Amino acid sequence: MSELDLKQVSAEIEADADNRRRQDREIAQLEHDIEQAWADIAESESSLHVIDEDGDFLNQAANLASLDPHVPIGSRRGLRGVKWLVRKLSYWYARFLTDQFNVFAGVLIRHLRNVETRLGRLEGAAGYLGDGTVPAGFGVLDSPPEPSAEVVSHVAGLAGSGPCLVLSGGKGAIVEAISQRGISVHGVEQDPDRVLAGLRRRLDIRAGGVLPHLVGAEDGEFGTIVLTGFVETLPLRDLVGMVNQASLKLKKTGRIVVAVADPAARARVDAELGSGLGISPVTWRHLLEQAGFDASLEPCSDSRITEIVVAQRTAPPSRP
Amino acid sequence: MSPTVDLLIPQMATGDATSNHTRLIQQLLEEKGLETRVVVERKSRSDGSDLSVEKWKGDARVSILQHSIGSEVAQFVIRKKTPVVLNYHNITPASYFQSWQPELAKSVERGRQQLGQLARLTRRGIADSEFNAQELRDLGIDDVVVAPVLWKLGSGVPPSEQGDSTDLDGGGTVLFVGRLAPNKCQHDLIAAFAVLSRFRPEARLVLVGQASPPQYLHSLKSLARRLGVHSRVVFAGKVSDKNLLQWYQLSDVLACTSEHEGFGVPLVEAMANGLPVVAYDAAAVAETVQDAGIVIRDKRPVTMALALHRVLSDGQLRQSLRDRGVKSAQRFDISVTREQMWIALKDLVEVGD
Repeated sequence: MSELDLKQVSAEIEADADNRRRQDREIAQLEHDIEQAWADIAESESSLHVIDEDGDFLNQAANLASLDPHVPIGSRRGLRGVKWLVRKLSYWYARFLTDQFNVFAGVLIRHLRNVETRLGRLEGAAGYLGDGTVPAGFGVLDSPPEPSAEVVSHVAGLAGSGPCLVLSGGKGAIVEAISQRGISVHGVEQDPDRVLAGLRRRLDIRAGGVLPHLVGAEDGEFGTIVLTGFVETLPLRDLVGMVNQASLKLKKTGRIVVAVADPAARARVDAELGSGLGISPVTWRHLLEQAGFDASLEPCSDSRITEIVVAQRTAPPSRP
Repeated sequence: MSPTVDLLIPQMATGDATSNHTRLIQQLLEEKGLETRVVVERKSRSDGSDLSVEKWKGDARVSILQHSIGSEVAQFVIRKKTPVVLNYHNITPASYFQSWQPELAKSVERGRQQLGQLARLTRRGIADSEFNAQELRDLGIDDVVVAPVLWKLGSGVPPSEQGDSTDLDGGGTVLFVGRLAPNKCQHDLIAAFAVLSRFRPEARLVLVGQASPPQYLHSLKSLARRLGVHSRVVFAGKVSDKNLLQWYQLSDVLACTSEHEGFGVPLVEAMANGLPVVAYDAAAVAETVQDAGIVIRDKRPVTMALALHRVLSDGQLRQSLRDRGVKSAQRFDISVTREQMWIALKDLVEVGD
């Protein structure tokens, strides 16, 4: 195989494609339609204003804040000399104003950057990495195992109305069970292995971070939010943030279902490594009650996850 | 007292290839006993020890400028007329961003203008690839050395130890790694994937990388939806190094439809991880891949799809690509590239000792 000529392989592929285009009108038409589809989309969407959730706001502000005094300002009919003078005076005045504006914007942005730097240092000291999204404790504890059949069927039975969001989705067992009940559902998972496992089973498992996904969702989008898996390894501050966000993203009659193991039941090594990560079902209930939910614990026959928290909204959500 | 070498870069950022490259050059020079300092346009959160360019005097023995976009750092060099070693990573043509992100188009345009001015101040050009080197020579810089980007390859998996996951379900996973940007042409990849889905209905496409501009990502999602493949296209976003390595190891082929690559780090990372590469022959891509991947000159959807299909369905070809890729990626092992970088800098930084 070592003498395989890859240039020859490439040439064969290109020739094969040309043949198919010539001989199979359907393929040629498909290619044409695809290219047309992109042309339409690119034309209509390239100038759309889409908020960059991960973007650097200050960089964008710095770009937008620069006024260009050289932009042509037009002219009017009139005497040549007066026109020239008016144009010159207008130009210098406009330039003066834009310079003032640019200096002001520059100073403002510099100050904001200083604030951002200081906040970054504070976040760093508090245990966050540079991007401020991944807690420093991540990776200390292994990801929790996939949920057992008992947990899957119990959680699926508790899912109320749709659409349903499962955080984190794992390999998709819970997503699949909820979907089989005819409820629209998707899961979010960060681990590539699990994402692919879910996709292989044709489940809607999306790759990405649990918190960013929740933050990016529409307010009142979900009927049910299931919190499980990866949330067992998050620190309290993230869990509080998650409850607040989940509360906003739920419909008025929405429900949160939490299926996690009690950290107190961890083996000694995990208990020490995972100190401060994850909370018990009882504390989840308390948190959810404080957030305006009517929460209760349901016993589950699984050996790891012995209780499942079900929280029904009773008070309208408020932005934290 | 001024350090021997100033390393100038617009901004040091986590996970950014040029920033990592700069830190590795700094590490290399310091190991050689040289004093260094990183000079930035804008201090990020974690680089408290770096110097802001506004306080930079340009009095180091050697100043090395990283150039890939218009920047204030480059402007300071031009204003102070400081001779520099120009470490050039290429500048994406503005036309790719004109309709998507006009501010970025302006920025790259400015980078091109600055490049012309910097050419007169360049003591030596260091280019990631022969493709980039030729651009510098065309600008009249005679002393140009090719030394690839420095980065630590993720731990590669020897091909013999790789499990072959393809065809387990008659699908296969096609991976793309890099910014989701108009010049990288992920829309062509989604188009090819839509055709590939006709041959391999269970195939999946994974796009790893942050979107820039965001509306391009929006359009890619629209395209995937319109072509009916959205449920099998994964937009993984920016991922951790650990997850990136997992994506390389879990995928079956890396596809690249980019029209502008000054080097192509993900191509090498894929090869190092035993992942076969199918790429469109543009800019420095063929030079980076050499004879270790399928490089095609036509990336229309059917051609690209057939190339991917061929790799996914031909186990022998895949094995050959894996073996060649792992071997070829050794050219870019940090031990090799550090040596190349040292050779490129040695006579300049050691003069006068």
